[in-house]
Amino acid sequence: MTAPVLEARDLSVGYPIAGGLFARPTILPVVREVSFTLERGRTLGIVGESGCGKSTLGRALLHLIPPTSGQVLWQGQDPAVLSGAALRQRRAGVQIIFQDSVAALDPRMTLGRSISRPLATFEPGLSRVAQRDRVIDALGLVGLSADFADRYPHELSGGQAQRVGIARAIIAKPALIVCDEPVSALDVSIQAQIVNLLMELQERLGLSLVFISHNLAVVRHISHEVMVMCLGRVVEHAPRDEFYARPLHPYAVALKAAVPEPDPVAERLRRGQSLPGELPSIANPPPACVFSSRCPRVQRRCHAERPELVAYSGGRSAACHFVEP
Amino acid sequence: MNAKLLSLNDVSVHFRLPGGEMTAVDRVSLDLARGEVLGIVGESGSGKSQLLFALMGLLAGNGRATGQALFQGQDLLALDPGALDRVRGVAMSMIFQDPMTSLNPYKRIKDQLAEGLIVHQGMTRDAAGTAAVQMLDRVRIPDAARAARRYPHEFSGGMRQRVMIAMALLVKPALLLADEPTTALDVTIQAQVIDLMSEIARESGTAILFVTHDLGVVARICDRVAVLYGGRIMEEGLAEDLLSHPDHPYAAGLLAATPRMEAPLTPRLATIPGTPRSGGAMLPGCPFAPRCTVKIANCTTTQPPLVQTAPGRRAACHLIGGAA
Repeated sequence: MTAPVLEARDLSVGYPIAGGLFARPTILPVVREVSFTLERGRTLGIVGESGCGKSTLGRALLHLIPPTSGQVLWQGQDPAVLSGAALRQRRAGVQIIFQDSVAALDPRMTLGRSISRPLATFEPGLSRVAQRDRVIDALGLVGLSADFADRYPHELSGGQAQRVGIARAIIAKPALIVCDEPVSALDVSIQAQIVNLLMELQERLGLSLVFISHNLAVVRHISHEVMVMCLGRVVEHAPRDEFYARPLHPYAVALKAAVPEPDPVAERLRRGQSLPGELPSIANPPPACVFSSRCPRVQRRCHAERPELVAYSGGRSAACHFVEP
Repeated sequence: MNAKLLSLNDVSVHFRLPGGEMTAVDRVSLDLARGEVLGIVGESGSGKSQLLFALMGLLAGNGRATGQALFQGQDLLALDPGALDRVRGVAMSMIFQDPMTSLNPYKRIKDQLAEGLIVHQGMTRDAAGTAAVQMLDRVRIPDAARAARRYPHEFSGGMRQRVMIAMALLVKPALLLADEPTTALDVTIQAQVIDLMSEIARESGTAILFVTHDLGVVARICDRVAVLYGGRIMEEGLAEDLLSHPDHPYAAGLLAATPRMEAPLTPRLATIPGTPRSGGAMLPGCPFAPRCTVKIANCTTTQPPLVQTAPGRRAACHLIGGAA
């Protein structure tokens, strides 16, 4: 049996925040005790609202931020124990695409040079001609013609920029791409094109995807399984169909109900049922259950005792004292 | 509901650019009834925001609006700045996507809210302050009396947008112009703000012109919707009718491309080929023709007129017949 493409084991990540002038900086925990495995050719959707830690988790999965505790494994290998050339070699296999791909490109570099940059790092022996061929292959895979290699970032539309971002991510033939809100800034008609492109590339190249988004409807289309985060913790993790048919955690239920559907009849019934309360700050989370300050089903126990993530039938798990599986 | 509050007749917006003039909004005609919520939907470059800015008198310096926008017997596009200011302070309010750019960071919330009442309605400072606190309570700002003494940076994004709603509704306007007011908010907060806007609008009889790119938001708050593309109305109708049976190929394409939570999953999302119009000269034919999969020869040469297709329903497409 081969190791999964990606695994997180009790992964926690925090940021140091300054104390007083002479105080030692303390660590603000942003992601806490996240565990999952992701197999080849599968997509894990990670959803949550501002400050839930989804983007920090994405960066930690790529070992761009070191964990405060726990482990990330790339095909069974912990990047934290690697360094130098060995780490660089493994990094070729894990790539990222961002929400704003124009900002991620050097404005003074041709797109061809930007796209080929990973090759210079990961396959330094490659000739210029071979590099050029690989760039043109990657452009073809994302649906752009070869002449884009000689253009500059400012000439791109939003959808084209995201295609270039994807071309750069796939050029070194990675096993995993972390997609951080890749379609959030795009028009609806273009968003659909990019979602379809990612799904096609996954099938052709056997890619595994971590798809981070605040948009539950987009995540439904692209993901095989869904993880819901709230204030740094996973509150639910389930296969896609089970999750969307009936989410278990009250936060997942509320999040799903809050997404407006283009269906006025259904929406009229939901009017006036929005979840009250503000998003708590990650710097000052509720003490026990992270959702207790807004939960419509909160009980005394929820303020006293933190619910563990418990496995239920159908591969689902949820962290709530009052789940009805 | 039949009394017209706002009547747009052939409103166009042009921008002077180095390469010539660019038309962002092209002869838009729309009516808005008292208390009605009308959604203006479209993607980038559809002209939806520029249409709203024209009504507010907030076009950039190189922009100009033509046509007529009758509001309570006055043409908003023809008013001088002073007269427009009086309309804006008394009968018409605005909400934008980013509340932080509309709030003064150096002034307490209460003073910012009270200012409109003092300037436009001649209220005393005390009376205006009391009204401001009541309105903050009305938009569910917890502990409104204390919150009113705070500064904008002390509020979360959702609370700031509620403060903006309070400020906009404080003068009891007949018309509220809202430009993507919930786009920057988290999804559970967006649901709260939309519920609040529709509740208050219904109670106070305020009509809303609600600009958004999100058809889900339209379904939740709008009575009627106009779909814009390339500066022109493609289709207009009751939200319920249009979203369940769009006639125009663009409206249908936009709806099909919107990922849903409830509809059966398909292996791929439906897409519209090509990219939204970005500037450039107006085409001789239908602005959507370059992306339309069902276009005929006529579409690239002649602009289809916006015709009534059913009672309360209009569309601009050569493939759709008008009602007899």
